Amino acid sequence: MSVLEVQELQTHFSTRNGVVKAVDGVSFSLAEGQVLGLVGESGSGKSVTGFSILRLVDVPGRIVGGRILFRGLDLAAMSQAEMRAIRGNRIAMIFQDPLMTLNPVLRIDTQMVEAVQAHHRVSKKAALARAADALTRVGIPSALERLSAYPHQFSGGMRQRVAIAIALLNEPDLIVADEPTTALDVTIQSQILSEVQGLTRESGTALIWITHDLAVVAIDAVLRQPRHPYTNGLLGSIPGNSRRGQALQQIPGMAPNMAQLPAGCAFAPRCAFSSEQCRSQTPDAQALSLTRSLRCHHPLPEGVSP
Amino acid sequence: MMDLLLRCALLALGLWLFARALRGQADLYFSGPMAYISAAVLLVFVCLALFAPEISPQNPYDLAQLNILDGRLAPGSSSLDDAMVYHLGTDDQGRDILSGILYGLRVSLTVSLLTTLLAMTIGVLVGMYAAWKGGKAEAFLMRLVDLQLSFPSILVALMLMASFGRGVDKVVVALVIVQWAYYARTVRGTALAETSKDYIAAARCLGFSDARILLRHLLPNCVPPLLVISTIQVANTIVLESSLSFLGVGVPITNPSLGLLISNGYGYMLSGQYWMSIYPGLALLAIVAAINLVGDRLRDTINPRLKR
Repeated sequence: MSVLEVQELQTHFSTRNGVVKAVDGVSFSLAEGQVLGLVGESGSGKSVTGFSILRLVDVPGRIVGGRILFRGLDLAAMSQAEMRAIRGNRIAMIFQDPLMTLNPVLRIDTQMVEAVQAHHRVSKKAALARAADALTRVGIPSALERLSAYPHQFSGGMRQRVAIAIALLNEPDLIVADEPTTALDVTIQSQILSEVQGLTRESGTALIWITHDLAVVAIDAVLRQPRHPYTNGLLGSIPGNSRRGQALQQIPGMAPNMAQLPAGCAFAPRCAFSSEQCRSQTPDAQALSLTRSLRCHHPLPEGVSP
Repeated sequence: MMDLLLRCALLALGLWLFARALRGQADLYFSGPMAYISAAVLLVFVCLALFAPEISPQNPYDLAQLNILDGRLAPGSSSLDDAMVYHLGTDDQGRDILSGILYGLRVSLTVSLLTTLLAMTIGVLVGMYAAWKGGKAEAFLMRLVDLQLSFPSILVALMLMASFGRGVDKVVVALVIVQWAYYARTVRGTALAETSKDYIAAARCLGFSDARILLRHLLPNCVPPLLVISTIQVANTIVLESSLSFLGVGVPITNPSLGLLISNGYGYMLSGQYWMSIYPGLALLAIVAAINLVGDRLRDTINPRLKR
C-alpha cells in the first residue's frame, strides 16, 4: 500500500484580489521508501502542497478539495488533535532555512527531547539517548557534547543536519523536505541530499523533496525525455546544458499572477506551441505510463531530449 | 534573620537576571564610563533600599525614636541629646532626612518593581494572545490598547487614585492599569514578527500544542525588547508614583516614598529650609537617571536591530 496518496488536492487562498488557486488539482502517490521530487518556479505552489499535507496552511489559505490519504486515513478530514499526533511523529518536515528552523533560545537537547516526548511517553534519559543517536546518524561528530549547544554554535550545514535529525527522531513514515538545501553551500547541498536519501532508504521512509533546482532532482524519465513544453523550457534554462558562447534559453514572460490565472492552460501565454484551444480549454491529465501523466494539448513528441 | 536572607536572595536574583540579560555580551555593555557609573549608582541605590533598616541611622517610622524638638534642623547639626548627627538635616517632625530617603527609596522601588512585573505579565499575556489569535480578538484588544495609550498616564492614574483613596496597593493597581498597554503593544509586535519565522512553523510541524508553542517557543524569543522597555518603565513608574504622592493621592503619609518626602518639605522651601525637599529630590533624580542609562545601554546591547 502506498504511504501517501494525494488526490485532486486543491488549496486556495481567498485574498482581497480574488481567490488564488495555489494548488489546483494535484495528484500523486508515494510508496514506502520512495522519493518524490516536487519541482517548479517560485510561487508555483510547491511549498503550499507540502504544508497542505501537514494541514499547516495559514489563513487565508484553505484546503478546499481533494483527499490526502496517509496510510489510508484522510488527513484532510482529521481533527486538529488527531493531526497533532501525526505531525512530527508519522510525518515530519524539513525547512528551507536552517538558520530559522531551530529555536534560537533553546538548546539542541531541549528541542530534541521535547520533540520525542511530545509523542512518546519516555524518560528524559531515553529521549536524550535517542537524540544523540539521531545526531550521530546525520553525521554530527561527538553528538553527546553537541547536544548541549545552542543553535548559533552550529554552522548552516550543521544546523540543517540537526533539523534533519529532529525530523528523523520519531522515525516517521514520510518526510516533507521543503527546499532543504537551497540556503546551503553547493558542496554541502550534495552531501545533505545524498545523506537524506541514504537515511530514508535505510528506514523505508518516503520522502517528498521540494526544490526549484533541477540539478538536485534525480534524473527521471520526466526530465530525460520531457513531453511538456514547460518542462522542456525549464531544462533549457539550466546553464550547464547550453554550449559555450550560446545564449541561455529562457522561458519568455513571467509566472502568471495567481489571482488572475488565464483561462485554459496557465502556461499558454508563454508557450511557443500554444493554440486557440490552449487559451480556452484547460488540458486534462492524460496518463503516459503508470507513473507519469501530462496536462498539455500539444505535448512534445516522444523521444526528444532537451 | 529570615528577612535579611530573603533580601540578599533578592539582590542575587537581580544580579543574576542582569548577567543573564547580557549573556556573554558584557564587554559590549560596559563600553564606556557612563555604563560603569550608571550600573554602579543603580547597584548602590538598590543596596541602600534593600538594607535600609541596617544602614539608616534612625527608623523614621518609629515614633519613639523621633524628637519633635529636633524639627527642621539644618544639615550637619546634631540632635538635642547629642546622640546622632543629622547629616542631611531633619523635617518638621524631627525625622532624619537621610533615613527618610533610605526608607522612601524602598517604597518607591517596591511600588515600581511590583507595578512593572504585574503590568508586564498582563501585557505579555494580552499581546501574545492577540498576535496568536488574530482577527476580531486582536482588533478588539489592540483598540483597547490604543484607547488606553491615548490618555496621558498621569491623568488616568490621578483619576483612579482619586476614586481608590491612598494606599501602596492602590497605587500599584492604578499604575498597572495605566501601564499594561505598553507591554501589550510591544509584545504583540515582536510576537507577530516571531510567529512568522520558521522555527514556529517547525514547532507546529512537530505536533506541539498551541500552549506549548506560545510559552516555550514564542515567549522566550519576545524577551529582549521586553527587558529593555521594562527597565525604562521602572524609571517611569518611579516618577509617576512620585508625582501622584507629591499631588497627595499616592502612598499614605505613614509610608512615605521619595515623592511624598519632597511634597512634605515643599512648604518650607521658601523659608530657606531647602533640605527637606532637595535631598529626596536629588535621590529621585539620581536613581531615575541611573535606571534610564542602564536601560539605554541594555537596549544598545541586546537589541539586534541596532547591531551593525
